[in-house]
Amino acid sequence: VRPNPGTAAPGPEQYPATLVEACRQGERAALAKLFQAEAPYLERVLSRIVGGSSDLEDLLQLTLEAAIHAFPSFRGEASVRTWLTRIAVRTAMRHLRHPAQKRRVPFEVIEGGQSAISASRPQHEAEARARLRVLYGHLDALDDKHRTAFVLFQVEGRSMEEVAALMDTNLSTTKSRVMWARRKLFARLSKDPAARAWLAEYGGEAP
Amino acid sequence: MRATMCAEIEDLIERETLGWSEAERLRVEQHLNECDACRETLAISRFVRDTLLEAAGELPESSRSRAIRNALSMEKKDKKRSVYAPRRWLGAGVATLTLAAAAALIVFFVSRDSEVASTTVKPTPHKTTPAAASEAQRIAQNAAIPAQPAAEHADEWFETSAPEQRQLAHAQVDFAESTRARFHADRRLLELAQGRVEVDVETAQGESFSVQTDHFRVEVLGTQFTVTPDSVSVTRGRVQVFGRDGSVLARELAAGGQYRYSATTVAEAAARVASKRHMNDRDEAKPSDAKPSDTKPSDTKPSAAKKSAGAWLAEARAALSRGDGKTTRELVSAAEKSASPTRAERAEAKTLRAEAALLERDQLGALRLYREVAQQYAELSAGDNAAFAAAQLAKRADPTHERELLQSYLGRFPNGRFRDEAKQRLSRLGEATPTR
Repeated sequence: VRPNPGTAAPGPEQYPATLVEACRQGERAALAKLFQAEAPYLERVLSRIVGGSSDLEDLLQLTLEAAIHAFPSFRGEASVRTWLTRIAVRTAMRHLRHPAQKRRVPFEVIEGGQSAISASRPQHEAEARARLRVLYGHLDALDDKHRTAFVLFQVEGRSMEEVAALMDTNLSTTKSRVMWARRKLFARLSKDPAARAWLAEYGGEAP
Repeated sequence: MRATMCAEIEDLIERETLGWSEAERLRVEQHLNECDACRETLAISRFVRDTLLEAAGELPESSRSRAIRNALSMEKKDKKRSVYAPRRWLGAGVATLTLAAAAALIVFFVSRDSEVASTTVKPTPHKTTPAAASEAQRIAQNAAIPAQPAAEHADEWFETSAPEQRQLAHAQVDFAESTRARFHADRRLLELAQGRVEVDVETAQGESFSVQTDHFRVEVLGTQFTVTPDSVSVTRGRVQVFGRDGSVLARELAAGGQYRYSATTVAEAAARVASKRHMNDRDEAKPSDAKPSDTKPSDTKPSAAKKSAGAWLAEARAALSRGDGKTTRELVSAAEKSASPTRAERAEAKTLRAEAALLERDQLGALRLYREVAQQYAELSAGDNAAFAAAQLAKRADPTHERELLQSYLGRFPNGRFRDEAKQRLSRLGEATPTR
């Protein structure tokens, strides 16, 4: 058994109360400062859920617009990052709901953008991209709610309770969504010859 | 006992990202030594997680700054507007349409007996019952298609679990996975309920072939095109797209072109027709000395009213489908000047300019615009479409560049929607071109 790689979700950022209050008041400088700090994290969440980056800029813009509009009602019960993540999740799910907007363009098309692939293991870049293409091909077959719950739980390392809160639903529904997403995805992957070759590296049976 | 143990281990595997205690780790290790199925589950779980962890993409700094700037400028210009408000309205509209479509589908499938029993590929010929024939007649009337008498003819049902190719009348149809459709051989009509079909119609037959969805009907004489319930993309030739009420939604869709059904566009078109009727009624009631300009509908001219880029583009699409290139360009200009259009909207605006140029037979102008879209918006599906459209157009407008454009398309979009067509065309060009 390999060591647990740990969770992917970063800890919440703490911002001075004055900055948050200025954002509530709609002060552009404060909003710009907060958005600059949070944008990279939101981009990572959005890109993991939608599985491609062709619309990432638009999705980020929509998330920030929604945040600006909703800021006056932000009560500070959750951290700013959690609150923004919730908006980003809704934006991504709305995007996934439209089949016509499902993106087929793989990651390499972002010119000048960064992805964890090239940063972490440049020698395996091509293979990593191929794996992503195959995996997102199967994720496309999942319902948007199942897919989002699965990614937030399995990859972002959020607890079921957090996923339920981010998706505005209850705990049992969330558990059910994650379970069905796993079953469907795993069943598809186990039948995919391309995926089987990679699964052998993780202790699965060789093709 | 074993099943209970596997369920426990599966639960632990699911929670691996949250961390295992030492006791849990030992239990998993021990179980994996004797259970292949759980070992497989753990392998898949880790493969998925590791792969998705690598998927985190970040924008270039310039794109990020632009998104933040646009969001902030939107807030400044339109502080009172709720970002969710129009979507809430749209959501209600879409929900209503979905309910209507669901009701229609229930009725639509009444004529389908219990023949679709499994999910395997199966054309299921069956005789039309009197009730089904009457239902088919009603559907045909709704779709403004001349209804056939309730004749004895065979309808074929298709429900695929894997891609499948079939010859239907004079068309070769590729059914994508999870597609459900019914073919009426007598009318050469394929009704698509779900999924995607790619259709290649044999020109030589000189007979029409139609594909109909809940939203529209595509009619062709000879061409190759792809239909989903919400869109049509043309690979070769030209098609016309009609609404369910018989209205023309796209007068002439050329190779590389795409029509996408939008509830908003259709609702706006209906609202415009209603508004036009209302104005005509009002003008008829006016004294006869009214100036001609008073009766001119203002809805096709960009006004100073604040409208989103999306709304302008919806009107531009409608103008294009009416065949009005000049108004299309005016509406596109208004969209470009509106508050903070997104990149996708800017790409669509330029694509509409290209299509307007094509409509006015300015092929070189259209080619230039398509190439610009392909270069500037390569990361969007609009870029993919435009790159292939440019290559298709080059066949007529600038044949010397066709090969170069096709190669450029494949280089830029190795997994693009038209890669197979581009490869086929290149291979044909290769055969036709003498070796020097």
